Amino acid sequence: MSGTAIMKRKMTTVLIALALALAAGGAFGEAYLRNDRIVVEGKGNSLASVARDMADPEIFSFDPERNVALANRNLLIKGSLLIGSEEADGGAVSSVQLLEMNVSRCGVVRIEVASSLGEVGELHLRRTKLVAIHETDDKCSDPNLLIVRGKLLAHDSEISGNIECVVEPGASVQLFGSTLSYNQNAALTCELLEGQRLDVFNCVFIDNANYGIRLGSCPEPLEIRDSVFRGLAADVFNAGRGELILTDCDFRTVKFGSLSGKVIRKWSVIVRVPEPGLHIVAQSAKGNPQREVVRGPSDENGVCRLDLTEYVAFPPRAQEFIEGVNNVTPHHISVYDKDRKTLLYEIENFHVFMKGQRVRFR
Amino acid sequence: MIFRLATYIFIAALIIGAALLLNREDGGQSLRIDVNPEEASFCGPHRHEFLGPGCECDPEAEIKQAIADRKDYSSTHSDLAEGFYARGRYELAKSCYERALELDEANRQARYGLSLTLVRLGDLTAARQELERTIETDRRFVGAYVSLAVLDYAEGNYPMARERLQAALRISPSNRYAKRLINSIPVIRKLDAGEGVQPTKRLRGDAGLKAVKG
Repeated sequence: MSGTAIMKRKMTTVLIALALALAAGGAFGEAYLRNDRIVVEGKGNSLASVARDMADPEIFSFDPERNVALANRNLLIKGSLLIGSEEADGGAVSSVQLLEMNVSRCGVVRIEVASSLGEVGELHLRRTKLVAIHETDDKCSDPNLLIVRGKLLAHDSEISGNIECVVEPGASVQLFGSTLSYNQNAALTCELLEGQRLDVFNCVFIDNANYGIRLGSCPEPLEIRDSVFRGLAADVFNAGRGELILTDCDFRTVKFGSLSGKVIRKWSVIVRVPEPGLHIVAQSAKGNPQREVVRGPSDENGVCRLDLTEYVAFPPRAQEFIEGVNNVTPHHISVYDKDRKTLLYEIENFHVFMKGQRVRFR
Repeated sequence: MIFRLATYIFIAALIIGAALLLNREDGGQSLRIDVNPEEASFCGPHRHEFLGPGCECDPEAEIKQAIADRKDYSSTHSDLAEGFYARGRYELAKSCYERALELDEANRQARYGLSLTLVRLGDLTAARQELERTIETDRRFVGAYVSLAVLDYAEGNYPMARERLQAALRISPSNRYAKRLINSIPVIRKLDAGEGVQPTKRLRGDAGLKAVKG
C-alpha cells in the first residue's frame, strides 16, 4: 500500500472519529449563559437539567417537589427542551410542570426556538404551564414573545402572561388541547411559507386587547379545527391575502388587514346512511352566492363525515354571515347507490351552522 | 337544726321554682323557627345587614336574609359564568353555572346559560336535559324552546324541531330567529326503486314535510 493511500485511510479514520464525537456531543444536552440569555443546546434537556447546568438559582432554579422552575433570563432553544412528562400521553400522568419567566417589566420576555442550518430547536410542552410574570404593574402593550422558528409541540398545556406565540416561516407547530391566554396583542401570530404545516386542534386562544389569531403572510390555505378564538378587537384577524379555514371553531368576529384574504367557516357534518359504500354528495343550493361540492363514501358503519362550508368571510364588508352575499349553505345532499348513478335519498335546504350536526337517512 | 334544714329546703324550692319559671312554654307566644338544614349550613356575610344594635336581631329575618344572600351568591356565580362564556372559557363557565344552581335551583338564567355552555362543550344530551328543566320551571321561556329546536335540527330530528319552533312562535310570534329557523328546516326524501335515476321532483314547504320519512 502506498504512503498516500495510508495517509488517506488515516485521514478518513480521523474524520469519522471527529464526526462520531460531534454526533455524540450533540446527543447530550447542555445549557449555558451567553449574551445574558440561557442557551439550550443538544438533546434531552429538561427543566431539572437546565437548572443543574446553570448552577445558579439567581438565573434558573427548579424545585422538583413543586415541579416549578423559575427563569430570570430569556431562553434561546437551539437543541431540544422537554417541559412536562413524556408519559402524559398514555402512561401515568405526572403533576403539571410550571416554568415561570420572571422579568423586571412586561414585554421583555423572549423564548426563541431557533432554527439554523442542520440544527432545529425543539420545545415540547406536555401538561405544562408556561407563564411570564413581571414585577411591575404596568400595562403590557408590548407582548412577551415565544418566537418559533424551529419546532413547537404543545399538548394539554397553557401559555399565559402576555406571551404571544409567533410562528415564523419554516417553523413546525403542533398545538393540541392547549390554551394561549391573557395576551395583549395576539394569542397566536402566523407567518407561513409554502408547504408549511401548522397542526392546531382543540385549542383556546384568548387575547385581552386585540386578536385571538393573527394570520400574516400565508401562501397556502391554513386549516385549524375545533378551537376557540377570542380577542377584544376581533377574534380572528387576517392581515394578508391568505386563506384561513376554521372548521368546528368558535369565534364571533373577523377582521381583515387588506382588501384580499378569506376566512372560511366550516362545520363537520356526520351523514349516516343504511349501508357502507354508498356515495354522498353535498352541494350548495342553486342560487347561493358561493358554491361548493363535497363528496365522500360511507364507511363500514355507514357513516360519512363531510366538512361543509357555512360562509366565506372576505373584505371589506362580508366579515360575517350575510345571506345572499357570502353564504355557501344551504346544501343539497344526495345519497347514491354503489353504482354512483342510482339516487337513493336526498335532502334539500340543509343548513350547516353548528358543531355536531348529523343527518340520518333510513 | 330544724331551722337550718327549713332554710335549705326553702332555698332549693326557690331555685327549682325559678328554673321552672324560666323554662316554661309561653302559650303560643314563643317563636318557632323552621330551619332548613341546607340553608342553615350556609353562612355568608355577603350583603348581610345588621338588623339592630346588640342582641335585638330577628332570627326569622336572619333566615330570610340568609336565603336572599344565597340567591345573591347564585347570581354572582351566574354573572361570573356569563363572563367566562363570553370569553370562550366554557369549562370555567360550566362550573360557575353549576355552583349558581347549587345555591339557587330556580335560577333560570343560570340553567339556560349552563345548557348553552354544554352545547359549546359538545355535550348535547346534557344540554337538552337542562333546557327541558328550564321549560319545566318556566313554560313561557322562548329561548329554551328555540334552543331545543336547534338541538333537534342538529341531531336531524326535523319534525320535532318544527314543533318546538311552532311552540316558540305561539309564545312570541315576532321571534325572528324562530321564524328564520322554521323556514330553514330541511326536507328528506327517500326515493322509490327506479325513481332515483330520473330527475327528482323537488318538494318544498308543507308538501315537502309530508314526504319526510323516519
